[in-house]
Amino acid sequence: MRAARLAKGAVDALVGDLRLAAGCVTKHLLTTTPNQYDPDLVHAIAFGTGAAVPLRGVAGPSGLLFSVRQHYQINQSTTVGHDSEWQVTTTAYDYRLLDRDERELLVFHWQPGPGFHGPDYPHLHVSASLRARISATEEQSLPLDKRHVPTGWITLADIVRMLITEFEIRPIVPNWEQRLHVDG
Amino acid sequence: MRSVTSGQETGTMVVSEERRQERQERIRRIRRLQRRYPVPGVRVATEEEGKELFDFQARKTLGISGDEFLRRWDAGEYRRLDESPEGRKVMHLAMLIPFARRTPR
Repeated sequence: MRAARLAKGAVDALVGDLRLAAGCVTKHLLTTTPNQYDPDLVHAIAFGTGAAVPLRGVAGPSGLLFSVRQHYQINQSTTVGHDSEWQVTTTAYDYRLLDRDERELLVFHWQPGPGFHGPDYPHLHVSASLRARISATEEQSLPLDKRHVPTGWITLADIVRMLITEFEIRPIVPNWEQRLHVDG
Repeated sequence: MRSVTSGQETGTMVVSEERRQERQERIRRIRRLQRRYPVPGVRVATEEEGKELFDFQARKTLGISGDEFLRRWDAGEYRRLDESPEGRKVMHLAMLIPFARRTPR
């Protein structure tokens, strides 16, 4: 119980940063799991009922949907001669850009460990296919949705920034750049 | 004069007690809200709400109940999935398991 109280600041800071980022493009609340300060548990955060939320474009509804699911854990780090500190670490994420029928367009994954499929490194699935010329007479299709395109560590702020600057999603707060800078 | 004063004092005490109880109730309400909304824009699900969220998403995603998904998940029925949008739906749903039950790290 005491541990949970001490971890509160770190957890609230992480989910606060996530909300700051998400709140640049949607008014939907984020929901966290019960007992969110318990250091013995894996915690998750997602939009509202876990559903994808609609995004508004600069010229009206974009028809695109956005989904966020993220895991975090609370860790205690102890340095000799110092009080222990509580840190909150993201342990998995799944950020999705979907069309109105909830078909995948872009999926940013990092789900390390044996519980999940795929590689342990952060990667991207793109719902598109490349046509590669492999000889003078032949072409080969390279479906990218089944491939794991490596990425660096991606934060929710990175994704929201991409939505605004690359997909013409309308920011709903004037200071979105400043808010996204906080997260990352 | 004395009895009037006494009556006023009694009345004041009654009002004070009511105010104290109102104030305590207000504080309890604020604390409940702070537990549910510790950060602006972030809501903490109760255990029941977490189970409902998971069940809703399991039915929407795979057409089965949350409990049935957890049974299949624990039995290892999803260990060999295609790397495809359909297969990824299972992993996407699995990200919500901590809403359905306490998930030890």
